[in-house]
Amino acid sequence: MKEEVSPFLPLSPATLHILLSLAGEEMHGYAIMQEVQRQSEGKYKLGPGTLYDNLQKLMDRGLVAELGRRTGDDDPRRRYYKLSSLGRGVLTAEIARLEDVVREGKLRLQAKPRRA
Amino acid sequence: MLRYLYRFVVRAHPGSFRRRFGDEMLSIFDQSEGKLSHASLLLDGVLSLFRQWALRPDLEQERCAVDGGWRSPFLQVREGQTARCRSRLWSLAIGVGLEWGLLDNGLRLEPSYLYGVATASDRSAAGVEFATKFSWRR
Repeated sequence: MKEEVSPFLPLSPATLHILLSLAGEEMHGYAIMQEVQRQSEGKYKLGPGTLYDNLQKLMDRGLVAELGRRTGDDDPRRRYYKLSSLGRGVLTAEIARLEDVVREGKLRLQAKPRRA
Repeated sequence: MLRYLYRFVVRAHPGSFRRRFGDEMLSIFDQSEGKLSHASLLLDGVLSLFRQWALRPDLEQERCAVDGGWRSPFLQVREGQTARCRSRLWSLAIGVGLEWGLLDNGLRLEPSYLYGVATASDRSAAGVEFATKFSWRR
């Protein structure tokens, strides 16, 4: 599994937030933008240009799948996207990588600095 | 006015990107409220336009080679005319940028307007930084 996902790592902040948004449920573009803003408590905002540029790359690489339009939606122009199984694997690996980084960072910051 | 400009910017994107995401980008523009929000989306669209044409050469070449030409209201290119295609695309990007700069008086996209109202995260957005570069025109 690690061999399969390692070429995708590390993820860019935009990619990480998009995959995180789609980890819970299927979403359309505007909902992804709002979810990214919520996750980051308003500190990170994705514009549609950045969002769709990343979605295009993610779909080309098979991490995200397009579900198309939904009947009965408020806006018929919306398309829905979902995380693929490969995307979920990549996200899981990235979270594990970040946990290692955080653990290592905490250890280093708690350790006493050596004298030269 | 802003919607008209935004639609122009969306339509100027590479054909494959526009067909795939153009409607959704306009949908997001229609859903967002407020002049500041619309101005930010317009800036994002201009940056996206630059990104798609200048930083995605695979797409550009694909466009240049498809069916001997891309049937666009803005550009017409034929197979083998990659160099000319590239220069036209750059011209398009520069033209859009200049148009933006000339219109910014009407849109009032001066830094004080954006920085005065925007939050800290807004200020960090690349689109706002782009707007400040044109402020000398005023």
